[in-house]
Amino acid sequence: MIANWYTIVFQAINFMILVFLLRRFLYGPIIEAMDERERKIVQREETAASRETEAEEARRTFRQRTAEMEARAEEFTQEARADAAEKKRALLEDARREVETSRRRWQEALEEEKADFLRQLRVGIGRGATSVARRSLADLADAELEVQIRRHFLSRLHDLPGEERLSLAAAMDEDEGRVQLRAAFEVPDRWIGQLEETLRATLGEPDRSMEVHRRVDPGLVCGIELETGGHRVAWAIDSYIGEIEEELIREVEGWVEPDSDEEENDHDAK
Amino acid sequence: MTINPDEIILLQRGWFVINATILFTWLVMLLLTLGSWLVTRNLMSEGTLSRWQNLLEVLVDGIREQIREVSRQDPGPYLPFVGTLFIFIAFSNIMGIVPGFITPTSSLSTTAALAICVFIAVPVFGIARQGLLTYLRQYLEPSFFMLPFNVIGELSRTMALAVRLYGNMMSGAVIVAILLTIAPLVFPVVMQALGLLTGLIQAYIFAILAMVYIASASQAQRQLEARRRESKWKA
Repeated sequence: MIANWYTIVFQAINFMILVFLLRRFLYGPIIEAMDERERKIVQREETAASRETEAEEARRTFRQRTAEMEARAEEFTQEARADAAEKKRALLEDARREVETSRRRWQEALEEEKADFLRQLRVGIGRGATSVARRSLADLADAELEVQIRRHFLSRLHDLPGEERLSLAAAMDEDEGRVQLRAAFEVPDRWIGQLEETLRATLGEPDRSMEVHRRVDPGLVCGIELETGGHRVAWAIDSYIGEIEEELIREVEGWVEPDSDEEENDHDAK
Repeated sequence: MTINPDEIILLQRGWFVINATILFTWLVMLLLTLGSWLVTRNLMSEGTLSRWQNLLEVLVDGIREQIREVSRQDPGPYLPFVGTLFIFIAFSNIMGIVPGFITPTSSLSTTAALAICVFIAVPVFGIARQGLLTYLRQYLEPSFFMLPFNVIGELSRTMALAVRLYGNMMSGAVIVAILLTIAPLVFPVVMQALGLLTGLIQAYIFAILAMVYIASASQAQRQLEARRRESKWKA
């Protein structure tokens, strides 16, 4: 017989033992290792997926924050621009005000200078004109004119108004009858007597005693001045000349003013 | 020349006999177990795998895929049985190239033993899967009169399984032996290389057929249930 039952049974048992052995040493461990690896791969994939989600979340957060920061930066920039514009406006305003102030100051200084100049000019012109008048009057003055002046002075004393007479009398009392006489020329003794007479008549006191001190003062142009106790009675061509001077200055102002306006306009144009 | 390795008696103590088939079977078992133990002793579940672990994983995974394709079921319960069939037969056949090694599968006793194992495994898996009565009922399908034919079919396919493997392995050994006497140089090497291929193919065929038989036992039941459901719907 090709096969014998003894060997067949033996081999069947052997095979079953081999099935058990391989199950114990081959399939079990190998499959377990493969399953374990698969589990780990799945786990790793899950970890990777969760990390990706986290990364995505982080990226989204980052983007959001970046956007917020950009928006804030934009806001700051806008604010800064607005502030800068405001500051610029204020500075310009200040500068303009300052320029305006300095311009006004300058203008005032100019005005003042101009006024000063004009004043000096007026005074100069007035003085020049009057000095010319004075000199010519002084040149013209002679005995006849002096007589006329003295007469005119006496008549003026004589025609003093009532209140002035009283105050003159009071001043004279105060000075104990001392009278200072200043004249641009020599006064003769005779005329002093006339003066005393006229004073007594004017004050209405024929017995009044007085003491006249005379003095020549060339500063009084063609004039006579009487002074006692602070009261003064005078006549001089100077007062006329003063009036003429004032008149002259007024006149000069009249033709200087338009010019100054023109100057101002020129300055503004510049 | 001794064709049957069963007849090479190595040890005999009364009824206890150790012949070449049994001895070389033990040798194969020892090598397989030892190799598996050495490789699976320190398996890696991550990082770089060792070359041998990679080889065994490819082997085990390949077998599982084949079982899944054939049975359309989870390969888990069938793997140890069908996988061991394949590994044992393939390894025995490959070892046949080693001079002096007598392939256990070239003994009809071994192939018959394996076929008987399949013969027993088919009902065992079938009953484990669908219960005793449901399993036995399929021998009465499509009618009671078919019972003898079903039984004969079961027996004959077991015999065919055994004889096919035996014939192929035997013929390989015999051809080499005959060729050695005619052309002792070069030609037997070619035949032996061919024998390697044939051996692997036979191992594959044996394992696949076993799986088909086992799967058909449960699939037949499923088809039966499907047919019943269909008739109920029609009614």
